[in-house]
Amino acid sequence: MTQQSIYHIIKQSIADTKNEAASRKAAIASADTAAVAGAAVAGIAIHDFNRIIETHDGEPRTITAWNLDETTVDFRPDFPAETLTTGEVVRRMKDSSWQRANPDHPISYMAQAIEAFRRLVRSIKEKRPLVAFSRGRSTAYLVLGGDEAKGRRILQKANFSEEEIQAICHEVYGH
Amino acid sequence: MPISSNLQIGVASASDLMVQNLEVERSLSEVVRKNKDGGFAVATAFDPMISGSVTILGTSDDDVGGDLQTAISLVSGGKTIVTEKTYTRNQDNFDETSVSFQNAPSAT
Repeated sequence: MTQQSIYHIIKQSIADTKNEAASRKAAIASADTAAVAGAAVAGIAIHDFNRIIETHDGEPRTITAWNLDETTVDFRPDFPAETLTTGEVVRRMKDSSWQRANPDHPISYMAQAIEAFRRLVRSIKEKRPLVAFSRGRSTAYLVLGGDEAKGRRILQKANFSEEEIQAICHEVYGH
Repeated sequence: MPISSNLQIGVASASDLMVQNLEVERSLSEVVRKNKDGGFAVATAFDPMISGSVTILGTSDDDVGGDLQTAISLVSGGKTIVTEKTYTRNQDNFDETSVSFQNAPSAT
């Protein structure tokens, strides 16, 4: 089967993430997360997100990888200049009906971007990270706290020794 | 462009997988222009392009072998075109997806 797909992958390597909590916190704080929220509001589909914990030259680090649709979007500003009170700005920020009725207004974009960011943060918190282990030309990506039986089969396929598998399982599955 | 009132964010649950035999080849293209007197004008170096291939293994029971979107984001970055994908269901419970791709790391 042959097919052609185009992706736009946004990746960042974050050093010094010593444990899962630090890794998660760094991913949420990353400028990429805010940028992807903005892209989502612009109409760009998010295919996938992964957080990978790995050790590079003896140092722990986190890779964040957002997989977006490679596409184009049009921006055609269409709103009249206006002067608003503080109360009106806040009201519009909280009023989803007004936003649906005024989709091209900057306040609608701001409100949607904040909502998108909230959802991305929730995804980062809920989606378990992958932990990477390399052996030769193979790299196993195991879901932290996932299915140990599956993880063992993948590690065996990658030719890790039984002792190495035990150590990895202790790290990934906690026993 | 109207914003979506039903914002969809597709982030699937994580799956175990393995990538093998990642091969990449970098290339840098240059264009040398001739000026009107027949001499050489400015040479422009374009962003590097990477061509690559990789094999992705997953377990048959959850069809991980077909999880291309996750796998390609593990091995690549920037604008990535998957030019060929071959999916093979194996007897040993590990399904294989072989992928060829082209990648422009700094494309905007």
